[in-house]
Amino acid sequence: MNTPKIDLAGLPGLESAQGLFGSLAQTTASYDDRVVAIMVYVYDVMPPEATL
Amino acid sequence: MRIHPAIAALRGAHSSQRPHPVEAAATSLRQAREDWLAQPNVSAIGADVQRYAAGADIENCIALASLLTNPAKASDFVEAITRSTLHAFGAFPLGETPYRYRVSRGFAMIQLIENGGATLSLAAYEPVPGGEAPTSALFSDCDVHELVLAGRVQGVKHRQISDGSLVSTRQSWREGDTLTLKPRSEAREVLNVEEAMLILRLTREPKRPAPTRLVDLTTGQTSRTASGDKSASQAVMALNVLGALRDDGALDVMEKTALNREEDADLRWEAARQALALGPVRGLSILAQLADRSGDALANPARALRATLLERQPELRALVE
Repeated sequence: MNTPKIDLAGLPGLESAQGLFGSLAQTTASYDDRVVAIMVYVYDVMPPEATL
Repeated sequence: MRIHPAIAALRGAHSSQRPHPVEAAATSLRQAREDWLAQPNVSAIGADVQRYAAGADIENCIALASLLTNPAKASDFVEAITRSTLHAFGAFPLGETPYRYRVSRGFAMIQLIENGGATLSLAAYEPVPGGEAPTSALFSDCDVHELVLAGRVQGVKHRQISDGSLVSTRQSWREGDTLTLKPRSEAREVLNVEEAMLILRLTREPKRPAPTRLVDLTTGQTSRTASGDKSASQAVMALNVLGALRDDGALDVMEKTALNREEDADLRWEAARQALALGPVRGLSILAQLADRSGDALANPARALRATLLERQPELRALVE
């Protein structure tokens, strides 16, 4: 018997869903100096020492 | 193609060369950092950053508080780190800095000391042409203390008062000025840099930061929110990877995450979504368990999704009976 499949794309997010950490940008801001930064992701996962 | 001799030398270095030039540069820069951190005044500040991260008031972190209010002391502090780091860069110009850093248009930032949610960093703003008047402000769940070490800028400070409306004040910051921001309700933005500005900045985030909000300046309404919790967002992305790998073994983790009330709601919901796509039987059972719970924020969405799925795909009914 074929098990029915559910398509992930058809499953809604929560109504209260938030963007991922660091995903907010102010398009009109002159300086992108948010305290949170995508850079932090890269280094948290891969500290500079480990890249050598 | 022209290759700079220094890069050619690095590329040409034999892998058996000990120490390898890349390694030698990293060691030297790391050592410079450790030497700096070991200086008595720096280690006192490091200890204060730890205390502050654990929840102490800034006034009770004497070394840190005096650093952030005394421009002469702060300049000495910054000079010590630039001196030691630049010295190491003099010997190894292609070395990678051991500090976390970030550079974007007109802005550069380097994290000097980080401990359990508290971060002391150095940020520089340079004049950039153009720039429209901002239409929104970004509020984060973060305590901020800043001291301007050099330069002069025009900016705006926003405060959201209890009725939700915004009070915005134009300000100018120059050498010696301090600025503090309360978490969630205060924000500031640099608008125009008249003279390149260097600031020392201390930030503190709680373990589970509240969402970051983008607030419209004219209406005072929150137009968008993003998670303030980095680890929850990382876990959401990890769940997506697990789902894409199509390995049934991941269903246990998904179920555990979805049912754990301690976790972030978006993360739990993502776990349920991924489980439904990976293993519909298990996914539907997760939805049923969530739907039966009283007082769980996911109960209603789970009930609604279950009903929608069974209506849209009647063949799924066989799996739940």
